[in-house]
Amino acid sequence: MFNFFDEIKQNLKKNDFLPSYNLINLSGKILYVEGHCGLTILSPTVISFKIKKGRIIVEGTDLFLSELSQNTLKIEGNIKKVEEF
Amino acid sequence: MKKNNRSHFKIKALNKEKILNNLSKDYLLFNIKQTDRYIEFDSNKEDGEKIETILLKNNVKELSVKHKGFKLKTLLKMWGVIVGLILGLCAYCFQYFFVFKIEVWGCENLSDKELISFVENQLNSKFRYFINTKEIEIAVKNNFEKVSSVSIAIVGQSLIVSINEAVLPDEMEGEFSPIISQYDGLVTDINLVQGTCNVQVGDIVQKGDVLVYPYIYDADGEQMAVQPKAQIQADVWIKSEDVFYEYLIKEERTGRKIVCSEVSLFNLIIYSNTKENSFDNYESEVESYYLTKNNILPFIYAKYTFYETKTIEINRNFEEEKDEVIEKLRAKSLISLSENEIIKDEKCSINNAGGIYYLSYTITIEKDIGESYGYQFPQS
Repeated sequence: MFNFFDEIKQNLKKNDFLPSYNLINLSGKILYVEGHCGLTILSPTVISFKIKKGRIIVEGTDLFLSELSQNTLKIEGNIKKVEEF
Repeated sequence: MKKNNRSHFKIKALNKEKILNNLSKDYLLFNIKQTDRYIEFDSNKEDGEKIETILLKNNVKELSVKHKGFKLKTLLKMWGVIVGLILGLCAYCFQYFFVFKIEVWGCENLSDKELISFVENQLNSKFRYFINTKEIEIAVKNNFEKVSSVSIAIVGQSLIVSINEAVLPDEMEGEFSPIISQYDGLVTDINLVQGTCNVQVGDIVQKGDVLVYPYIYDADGEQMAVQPKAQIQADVWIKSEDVFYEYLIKEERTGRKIVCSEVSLFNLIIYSNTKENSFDNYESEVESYYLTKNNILPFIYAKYTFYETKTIEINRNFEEEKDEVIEKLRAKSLISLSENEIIKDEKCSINNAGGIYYLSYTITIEKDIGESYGYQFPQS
């Protein structure tokens, strides 16, 4: 199957700076994440999860995790902010 | 994931994120929501029981689990259904081994009922494996002379008796049919080959009269049956009649009609479309038939048609229409003729009875009136 992120990484000569996680935000309604290292906060307004070199916080309203597996997750709701720490 | 095939969990725990992280390492979780102090989430139904065990091991305080969707195991535990199915299957298998109906195919002259009753008496048992079809076939063949071949088979729960009736020639039966006149006529010529002639030249015969008897008398005066053979020519009269009225009163439809309909069940009217009949004079027709082909609910649809009629008086002059009426009558007579028949004479008679004319048109032809079975006269 075609892997969009792998294609981009292969086309870039210097790809060391690329982080180990991938995020896709679809119209502020769905956030798809690859490469998370565990959930840290789960609430309707804040969802936070760990990545290899830090943490990502998603803020919004009516948030919920529509899918959660070992290294992928999908957040649905009204996403206002996605921040990396 | 199919929504109908899932397990729904509602838990209360202190370190909920840790629990979710642990579970997500091995299982896929869906629709994770935090409500007040509880967390709700779904999983695949196959993983449901395993997740439940893990949660119990992790000392989750309150746990509620709902398994949704079709589960074969649940169905297998419904003993009533299982027993019902087994009993139904047993009943079906049990009745399959019995013959409940006897059908007869190929009966034309023989009586179906007689044959069915005979076969029923021959059956030792209704159990299909106790029925010896060969024996019944032989019994039918021996007891019914008119049966030339018989085949018996068990199809489903029916015993099919298929027969072929024997067609015996008259000679084998020892009986001969006499030659019968097929027409009314005057005998003009007789060519007797075999049998005893019952008519002479000049006799007038009617349809159905015996022309030649199927026997002869030998030198000792003994009667001996023979196949009658003869060619009997006669003048045959083909006649058609009509009545002509110079003054006639009759009812005639005007073309206007009223149609009503109704649907009934066991004489109880369920639907009715009735219109007021405003005609002074009318004729009515009723047409009814079953709406359904089965006999469970015999709905009957009835259609009533009222045709308006009027009385008309007809005044005609016979002399003006005479030729036309006679021509029609002649055409009517000619219809009865076969191909290549020679017309010897044609005659029309008219009787007047006070404005009512009785017309009779007669065509005379020469024809062989006897039906000689199985014998062909040589062509002259």
